[in-house]
Amino acid sequence: MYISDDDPDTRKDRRYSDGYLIRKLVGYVMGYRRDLAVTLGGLLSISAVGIVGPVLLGFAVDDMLAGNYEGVALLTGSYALLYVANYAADNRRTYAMQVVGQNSLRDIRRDAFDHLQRLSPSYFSSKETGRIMSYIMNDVDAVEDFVTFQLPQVLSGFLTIVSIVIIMLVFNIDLSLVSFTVIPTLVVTTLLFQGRISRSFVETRKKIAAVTAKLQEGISGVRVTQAFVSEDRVSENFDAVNSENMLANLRATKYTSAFNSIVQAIEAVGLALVLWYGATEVLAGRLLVGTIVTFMLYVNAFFNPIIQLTTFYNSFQSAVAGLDRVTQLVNTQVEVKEPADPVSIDPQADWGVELRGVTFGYSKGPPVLNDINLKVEPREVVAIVGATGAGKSSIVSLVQRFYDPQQGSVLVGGVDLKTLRFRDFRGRMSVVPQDPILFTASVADNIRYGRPGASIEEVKGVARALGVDDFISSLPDGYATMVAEGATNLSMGQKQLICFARALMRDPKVLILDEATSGLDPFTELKIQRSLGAMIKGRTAIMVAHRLSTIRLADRIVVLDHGRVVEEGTFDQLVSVPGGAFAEMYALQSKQA
Amino acid sequence: MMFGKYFRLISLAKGHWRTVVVMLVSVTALTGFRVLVPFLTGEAVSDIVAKSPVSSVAFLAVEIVAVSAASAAFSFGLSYGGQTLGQKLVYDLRNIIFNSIQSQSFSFYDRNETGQLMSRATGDVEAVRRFVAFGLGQLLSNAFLVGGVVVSLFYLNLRLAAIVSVVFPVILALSWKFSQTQGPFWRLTRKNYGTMNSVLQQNVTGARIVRSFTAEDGEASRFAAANQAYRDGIVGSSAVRAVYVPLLSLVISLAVAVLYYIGSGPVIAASRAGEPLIAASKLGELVAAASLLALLSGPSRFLGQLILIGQNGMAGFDRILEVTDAKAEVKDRPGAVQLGEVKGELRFEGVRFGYGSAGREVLKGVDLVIPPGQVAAFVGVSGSGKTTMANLIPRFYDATKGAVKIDGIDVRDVTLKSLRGSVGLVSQDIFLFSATIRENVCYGRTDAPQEEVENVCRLARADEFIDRFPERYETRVGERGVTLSGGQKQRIAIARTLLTDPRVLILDDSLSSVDAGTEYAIADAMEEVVKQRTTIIITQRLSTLRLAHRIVVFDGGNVVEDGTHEDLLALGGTYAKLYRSQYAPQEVSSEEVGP
Repeated sequence: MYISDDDPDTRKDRRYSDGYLIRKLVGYVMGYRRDLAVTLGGLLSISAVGIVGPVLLGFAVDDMLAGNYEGVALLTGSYALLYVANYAADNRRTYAMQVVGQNSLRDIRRDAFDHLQRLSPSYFSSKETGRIMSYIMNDVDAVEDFVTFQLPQVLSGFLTIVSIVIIMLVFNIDLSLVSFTVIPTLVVTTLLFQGRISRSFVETRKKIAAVTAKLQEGISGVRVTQAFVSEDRVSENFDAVNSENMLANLRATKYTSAFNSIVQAIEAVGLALVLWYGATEVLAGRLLVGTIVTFMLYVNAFFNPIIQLTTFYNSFQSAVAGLDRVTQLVNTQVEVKEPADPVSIDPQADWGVELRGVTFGYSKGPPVLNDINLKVEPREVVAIVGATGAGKSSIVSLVQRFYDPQQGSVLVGGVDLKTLRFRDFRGRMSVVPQDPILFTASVADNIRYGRPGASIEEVKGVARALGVDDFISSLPDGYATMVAEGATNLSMGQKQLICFARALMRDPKVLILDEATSGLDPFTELKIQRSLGAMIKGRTAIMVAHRLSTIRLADRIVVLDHGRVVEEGTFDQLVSVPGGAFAEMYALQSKQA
Repeated sequence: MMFGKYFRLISLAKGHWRTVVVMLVSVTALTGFRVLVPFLTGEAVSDIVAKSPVSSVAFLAVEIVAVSAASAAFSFGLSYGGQTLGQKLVYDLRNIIFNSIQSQSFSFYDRNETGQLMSRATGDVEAVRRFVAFGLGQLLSNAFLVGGVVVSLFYLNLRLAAIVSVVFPVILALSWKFSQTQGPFWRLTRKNYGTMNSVLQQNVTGARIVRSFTAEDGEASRFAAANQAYRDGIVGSSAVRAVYVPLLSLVISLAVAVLYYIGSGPVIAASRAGEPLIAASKLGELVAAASLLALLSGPSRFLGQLILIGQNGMAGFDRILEVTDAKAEVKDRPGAVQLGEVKGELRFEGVRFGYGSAGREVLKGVDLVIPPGQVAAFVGVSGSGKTTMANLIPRFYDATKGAVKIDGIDVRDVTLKSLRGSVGLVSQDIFLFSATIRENVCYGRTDAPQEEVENVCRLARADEFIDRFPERYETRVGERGVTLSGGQKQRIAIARTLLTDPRVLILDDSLSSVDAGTEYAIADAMEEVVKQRTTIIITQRLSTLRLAHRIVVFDGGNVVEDGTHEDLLALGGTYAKLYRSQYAPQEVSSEEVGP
């Protein structure tokens, strides 16, 4: 589910502190120092112009009153030039700021995706697709507004406020101090509101998470919903979270709108104070009128950034919430790690496969495999049979080292998998999975997925040898036919045939068939088996099946029951064991309709 | 066309006219009060210069505070009203897009990737939200402000106003030009985003395959390319933005410089002529005019951002409209009737069907009648049209030619609700929700009593594994719950359908992942179930056929054989070949199997 912290039982507050997340973000941003320098330089220039501009105008007013025409011309001319010069800085800054921001976001996405490639399959079975996706898409998006817009705005606002305070004091201490009397009120108001605003935005983050979760569920389960005519109920449920989200947003809005209005009123008091005190000082002859004009402009410039603070808060909250989740992904420990100093293995040799005293269970669940010893000799074809839940698929996962056993070890070619680099053994193994997952690409590209460099002729060669060339050629665009998402334009059986070709395309040393023919009709299955007979020669093969029809190619059959090997032998040997597990299964399945 | 979508966005506000009225009243009053402040300031400056008594300036200062307080109150009204309207519109929009996705036909989901739909419903709605919640109020208040400032300037001093007014067309022209350049960028950006989303989705769904085939590096570069394209699009648009947005601020600043220069003339003349009172009033006008212009400097700085938000929002709205405007291909026709008590006769009359407009025909004129209460098995090689036949009964798709009838009524003449309520289809691909087992089983009948739930789970042989979970029916499945095997999911799906007690039951290869022993046991239990309804069993495994009264064999989109097991074996055709393939493969010659 997308950002599915909707479940109140498991909803946790954020895992990392703001400080940690900001340091992470700074780390990314610092990768682009040059553009960052341009941005900061631009911001400085803008602040400086904001300070100098009002001074020039104030002097111009004084010159006007003094009847000094040249002075006014010079000052207004300088004012114009100042802003023209600032344009260059502003232009560079606007661009550089986006470069820094967008590059950082790209890097965060890249790092998250790259880390995702290292995570073990257990990670993917514990989380839904949409949820993992949201880490890299939505959560990174949440950082965008903050990095590329709000942060630079607030930085420049902060710079402006500090410099205005300093320049005011330098200019005229008395008038400054009078203007500053509004600051305590401002600070108190800000403190009163910001906590509330900040909390209300945290709330909106949670509510929107629930909305996205429901959306995701609604979209991925829509076929089921329609089949069970449950659209109304699903819509009602969605409406409920949707309106909760709206209400949370309205609450947040109420606070921000009120805060902004109050700040505007305080600003007016500041302006009034400058005018009133300025007037008394001018009358007393201690102040020039121009200074009042300058100060009026400063008051305006001082309050603008404070009003922006509210949108900054919102943006900050979503940014850290988003960062927190991306960071959770990037910080997820890789369960099955490659060894630091891998051993090498002869890629040309024939490999056997061995499970030595293996005990294995998923996370905290009960063991699925109990102290299993299983040795498949090089070039031997072994079938593993047994009921659902006997542990067959776990063996397939272990042989590819998707998981590590709790006890014992898995070896190929006599070498412990834990001492090998993934590509050194996975690169020479091929699996035809139970769930025939294909990618949105052409059929040809799907077949050469494990060997992207293969030519179309090689692809066709494999398909022909496997006897699936006819079927592929009969597709609308033949080998160039695009596989739709979820491969909805192919039947289950057709997908499995493509998976077979994909596996053989790599010319594997070890071939693993995991219930690979469950979607095939008996005739097609037989056809595949016959071509497979030739293709399997010279390879080590493990065939997992609960259908006994698929195991005729096997040299040896291993019967699993509740995580233990209960029988082992050739087809003929096992069938003739009176009351044997295999003999019973066989009898059951050969019962004719 | 272009304004059409703006109109449609605005027309969503129809239901919220009260909020709109609050906004309009607020913005009018707010603008009035805001432009009043510069007048008061100018007057105060003028008083100061004229050395009027402090009390008069103090009075003006109090006025400024009072006017600002009033303007702050209306500013709250506008801001809160604007945000409220925005939130309500987005709330409506979310419901509209969600319900529209819910009511689309299966062919729509075939065409649109889940990732793309998801990005429309989240990313694009978010883009619209930013625009309507934040942008709309800003747009309104800025438009009013510009108008108010122009009117005030002319009221204040015609000469100054005439000169300064030159900037408004310039700002407008620049903004227009800028917004024109941004449109295509944002459409491209949204598209790039969708692409990146798709790459990611596939990578996550196929995580095991990626690892098995050590394709991690290829995947990383595929994603990197999409990621880079997305980044390049945005940075590309920033290059243009960096030209225009600072230009808008510059124009205002230059206008201020010109204003001071031009406005200084009368002040200087009066000062030189020794007319301090005239100089004071002229300076007051100048300060007032400058303060009026200063009101625009904030909005002009945000104008660029506003345009971006607007363009992005409208691009998002466009993509949302693509979804909401898509016509559901399968829907109740006007005057569709309620399907009454169903006996369960199914009739296919010359049914033809192809997926998509360009797709090849999967069914090529099928005629078939299944009488009520019969158990018919559909067999045939992969892609022969069995699943398609099944999908036409609950109208997941509509036949391109011919008709599917239930009890003699065309399925297109009855309401989808009543039709699908009577037809239960367990499909090949099982989707379970991230919820408890009970909630999943009860999906089609939320109020089912526990005994019935347990009963259907027993029939589907799901009880044996459910009972092994400590929390039994309250066990969560999916994310944050237990991971079920394919066979376990299939059994839950069967139970889910049985609970709705459908008159027509279709099992589409729904035991493929169940082991032979369990399958046998389910078939036993089903003997009772099938007695009360019409049943279609689609299967690759001939062992499940013992329930069937009749076997229909499909090949290349046609029914090629039809009869009992014995009839068909004796016929020695396709069925016999399938049968021998499973039970006596040694008898199937290599000529039959082909190359």
